[in-house]
Amino acid sequence: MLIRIDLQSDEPIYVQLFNQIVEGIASGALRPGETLPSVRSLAADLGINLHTVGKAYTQLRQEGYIQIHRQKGALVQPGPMPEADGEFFGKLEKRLRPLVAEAICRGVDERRFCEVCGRLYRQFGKGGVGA
Amino acid sequence: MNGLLTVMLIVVLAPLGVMVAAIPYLTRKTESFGVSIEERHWLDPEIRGMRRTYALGTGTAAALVLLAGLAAAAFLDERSLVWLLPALTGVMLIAQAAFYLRFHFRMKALKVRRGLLSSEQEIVADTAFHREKRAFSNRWLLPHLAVAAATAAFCLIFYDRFPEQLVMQYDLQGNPTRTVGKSYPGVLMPVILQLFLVLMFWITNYMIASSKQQLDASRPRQSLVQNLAFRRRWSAFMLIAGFLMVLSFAVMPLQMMFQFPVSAALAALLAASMFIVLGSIVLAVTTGQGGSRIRVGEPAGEPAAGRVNRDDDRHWKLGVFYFNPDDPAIFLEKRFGVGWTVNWARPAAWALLFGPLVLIVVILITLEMLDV
Repeated sequence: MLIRIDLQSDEPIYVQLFNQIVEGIASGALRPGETLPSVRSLAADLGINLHTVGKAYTQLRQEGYIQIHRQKGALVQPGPMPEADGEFFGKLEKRLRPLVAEAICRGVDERRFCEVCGRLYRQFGKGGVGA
Repeated sequence: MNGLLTVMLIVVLAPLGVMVAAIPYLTRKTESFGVSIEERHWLDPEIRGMRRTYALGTGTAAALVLLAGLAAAAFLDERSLVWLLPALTGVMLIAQAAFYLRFHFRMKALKVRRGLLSSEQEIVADTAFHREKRAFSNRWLLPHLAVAAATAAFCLIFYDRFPEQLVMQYDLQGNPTRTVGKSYPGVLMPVILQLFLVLMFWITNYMIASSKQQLDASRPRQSLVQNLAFRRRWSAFMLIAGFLMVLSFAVMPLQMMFQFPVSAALAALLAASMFIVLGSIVLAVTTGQGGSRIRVGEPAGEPAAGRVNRDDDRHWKLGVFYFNPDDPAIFLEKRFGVGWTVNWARPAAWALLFGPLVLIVVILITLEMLDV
């Protein structure tokens, strides 16, 4: 999978990295158990600080999307992906809330908002499962 | 007129001159005289003109240096080759540096004036790159080691039959100019050099495999294919060139032992060097820096361009020395030239570059002391 770091973005680089790897897993571009480059080699390829990549990997590991082994290095979670538990739904609502509020202010109704969500789901090739 | 001196001057200086003049045409098209630009400006008339002037200028300088060398060769004997060749090479490289710097600064000014790089910059990396075959295995150095082992065995088995005085240096006519008393280090010197060569080629192959990805953000998939081909070709070439060099050092003890004409040994050495020099020129021209001259079809699924590479000019001192403490990469592609360079901000880079130099000095000093 190609990782693209946008240097003009306000989003910190480690957040971009985190998001893109999660997107890669969601779309199937990154398969379960697939090895990822080591922190050092990804940082070298991107020409960025080791700690930036380290921060993204640590966060990915804490959330359960990747595993980091002493020998095998980093790999996409080969076992079950982290569950959508109460904590996750709490986070989801918290993140969506300001977006919903903005949408309402701009006169976007519930149906259109959900349409956008549906399109994003389909883009990841999951055909709206669980939408 | 000294025939051998003339041949040596032409054989060394002509390919060097061609290589130096050709460099601006062989870099990636996103770089011009050590300055990052967008690929679409590569064919800009002003920039093309700069490449042409540079090639003409350095080419003329090289031709003048060669002519001066040939004129001098008429009055000198081949002993002077020891200083004449390095001196002429030095003058040539200084002339090239002068031309380069002039165009580097002109290019920098041009970039400021005309805005040759969009601010829509992106860095792209493939997460599967580390799994690709980037270079041939270092196991391909085993034949080299086998030759070195055979040379060592030959030298040790026939130690008694080596002449009591070992010739350490010949002139180009094949007359000994320096001899030392026979000793194990003296007899084994070619083997030591072979092992040193293997070490050098091991480092080179390691560098080719481990240098950073450097995909072109405006066409990442295509540049990925080019980049892998670039690395594999150079890796293969280096392994073959290394084998030839190791082999040619095996000729030395054979010559000492059987006392066949030195000119035959010299011819073998020259043939190997010619293959390496001409081969690297052909490879550089057909492949281009980073594989930029390899034709690759547009791979499917290549997203539309729009973003360009990050502008890292500020990390490239004078456009040729990469110094970026934030970048953990040790090896990366040269910007002006074909091949790889190091990130001077990494201590490991210094160790790998100067370690072998220190080693060869230690070897030479040790041999020198043993001679006494």
